[in-house]
Amino acid sequence: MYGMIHRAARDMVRSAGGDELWDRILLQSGLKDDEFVSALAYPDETTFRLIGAVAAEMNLSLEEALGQFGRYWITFAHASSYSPLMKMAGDDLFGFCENLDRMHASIKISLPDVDVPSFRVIETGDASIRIGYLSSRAGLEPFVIGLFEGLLDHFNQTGEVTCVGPIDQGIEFLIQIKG
Amino acid sequence: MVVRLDEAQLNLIFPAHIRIGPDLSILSVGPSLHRLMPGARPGVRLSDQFLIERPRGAVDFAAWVRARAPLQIRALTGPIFLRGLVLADEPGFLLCVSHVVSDMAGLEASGLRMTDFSEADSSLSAILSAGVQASMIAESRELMRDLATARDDALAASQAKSAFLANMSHEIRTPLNGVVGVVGALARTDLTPAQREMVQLVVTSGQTLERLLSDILDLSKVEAGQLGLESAPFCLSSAIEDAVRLMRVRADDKGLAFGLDLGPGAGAWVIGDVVRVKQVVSNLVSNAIKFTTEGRVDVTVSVRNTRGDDLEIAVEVRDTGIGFDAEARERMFQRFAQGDGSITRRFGGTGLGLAISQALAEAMGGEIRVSSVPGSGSHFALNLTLRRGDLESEIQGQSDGAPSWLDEVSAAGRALRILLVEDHPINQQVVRLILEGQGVEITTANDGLEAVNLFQPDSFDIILMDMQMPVMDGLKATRLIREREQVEALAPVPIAMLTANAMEEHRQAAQAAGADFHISKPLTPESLIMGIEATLAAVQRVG
Ligand code: HEM
Repeated sequence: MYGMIHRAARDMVRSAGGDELWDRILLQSGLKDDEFVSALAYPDETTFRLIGAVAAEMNLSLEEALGQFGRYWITFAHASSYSPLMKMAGDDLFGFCENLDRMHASIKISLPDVDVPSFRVIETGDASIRIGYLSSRAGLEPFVIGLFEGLLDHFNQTGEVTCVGPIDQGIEFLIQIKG
Repeated sequence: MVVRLDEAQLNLIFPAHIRIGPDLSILSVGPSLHRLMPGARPGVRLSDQFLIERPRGAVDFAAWVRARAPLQIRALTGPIFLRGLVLADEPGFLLCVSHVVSDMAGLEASGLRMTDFSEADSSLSAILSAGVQASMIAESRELMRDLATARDDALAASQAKSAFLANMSHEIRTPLNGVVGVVGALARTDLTPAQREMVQLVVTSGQTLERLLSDILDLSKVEAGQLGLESAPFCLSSAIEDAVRLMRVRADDKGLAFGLDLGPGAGAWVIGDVVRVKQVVSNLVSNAIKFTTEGRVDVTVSVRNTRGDDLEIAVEVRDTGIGFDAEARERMFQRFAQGDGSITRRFGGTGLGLAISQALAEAMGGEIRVSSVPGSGSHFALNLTLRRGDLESEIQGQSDGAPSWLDEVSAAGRALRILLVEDHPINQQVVRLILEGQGVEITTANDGLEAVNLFQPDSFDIILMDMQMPVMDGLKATRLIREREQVEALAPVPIAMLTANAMEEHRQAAQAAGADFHISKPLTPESLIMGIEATLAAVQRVG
């Protein structure tokens, strides 16, 4: 994946455990500083090695690490130079979800090697969204859950995100807003 | 076929269109452009909100519409940029555009959202990628800043380390001098043969340590950028002869033949740092002798080329020693690394010599080149370009104005009587050349003892005393002269101490011995004449 994803992971680790924890993760994963250039694409294997090292050094399961990273990505994107993109995507969770696919599709113009996932809102209720996720990568469901949890948080809402399971195309997620 | 769009369709397909009337005022704008630029209202003149970039020049409305050339306009404030085809309609005309925002941060205030763009509008993609690109640029900026900081930090750390090394070497030198001095004294006492052997061991170890320290000191000076190079005329061949004099003895001791070939032009006077040139040459020769067990070491000095006043000089050192391979050559000039760890053990030395020599050569604008065939010897060449320094013209060229003592001495009807105490013939010559025709009369003493013997009451107006000399040094000679003046109640003669070292401690030693002033070498006409003037003035002030 693109280096911007690696940078976000680095930010997350540093904010959790400082440079010392980060140095341990670099050592464990064998990654070098030049694998953190946002505009460059790296093999997925590198990204997964990084997340694996984060999990190991932070005493998390791979699932927990992915979930935490998903939640962190939302905060990161809002606090970084991506914030105008996030803002344009919508002012509430429903609108945002509708735009998620177009946002990723548009990113392909400036990042030609990107392999972004596709999102499709299947159904919206008063307090729920059913959304389909289609990716060429396997095993990122906990990450997607974390991302939607992060979005709930970001729009000042509480709720629950579950992975419903495979549908005809991709995997279905359910966001239920509470209170 | 003409397709007519109603207002709603127009707004959906071209959310950033703009309609302009023949008087170039805005008739209406699409919804997303309206969000981006609330100022672009109907009735406002186009040029109050936009810079018209294309077509260039004065806009002739009718011609423009006929030509249907694309229009490109840029908002006067904010990062909004529009380009599109001009379509004529009634009553105004329509600019049908893709709008591009070159800096997404500027969008914050507009409140524009993705839903404001129709599914078909590709301008959204352009806006979003501008956003991604902007964040990449922000990151590059951040990276450059980090890099610069890291480089500054590394540089500062390296300089601090060099300064520390320099200080430490200096600090270590003082106690080491104590040890070497005391052990030297001990060696002169009655000792058993076993004790003598041990003392000798301490002496050699001390000497090795001293060499090591001065190497480290040199290197740290180079690294800290504190290597001050002198620039004074010297005779090339005499300098090289000087540098190899001791080496010749060492080669003899090892049973090696030694040759010095001063080629044509080697006798030239050049301008540079004679001490450093000698240091590099003697290092190269000393290495050659060290790594040669039999055969010979040859030194050649030649002027390769002359370009105007610049002389391209090569000092080459060839030996028939063990030589080295390409890999060893790579490591040879690295600081703190030696060709082969075992070499140090077998041949001794700090392993810094070549690194220092190379650094010195580079600091002087030159280089050291090496080549070798393992087992059959090596060839080192110091290549330097030095400016020709015609001694006499150099000296006359530099001196300006007549020295202040001229009036006094001509009034007194005699020359200024100078006693020059200096062991080195070239330095004696330099002083003579500088002061020639300046109303002086120079008497020369070759060492301190000669000076003390020559000194008589009221025989000299000033003494120029070299500090380091054989037989008796300048400090001792000065002390003896001052003692005699005291005992015989004579008026003190002005004494200026000449030293090759501008260090504070030397200055203090000169003063403590009774010198009135301190002139550092190498001498230039200004420094010598001003030094003499200052010495005379100092004595008058005191007297
Ligand atoms: C400004 C905000 C965002 C930007 C710039 C962005 C950009 C990217 C990029 C560059 C990738 C990596 C793809 C690759 O390198 O091949 C990625 C992956 C991904 N993004 Fe986003 N993204 C953003 C927000 C979001 C949000 C809010 C979600 C919420 C669901 C999301 C979901 C994902 C997922 C699940 C992946 C993993 C890749 C996969 O599943 O194949 N992204 N995104």
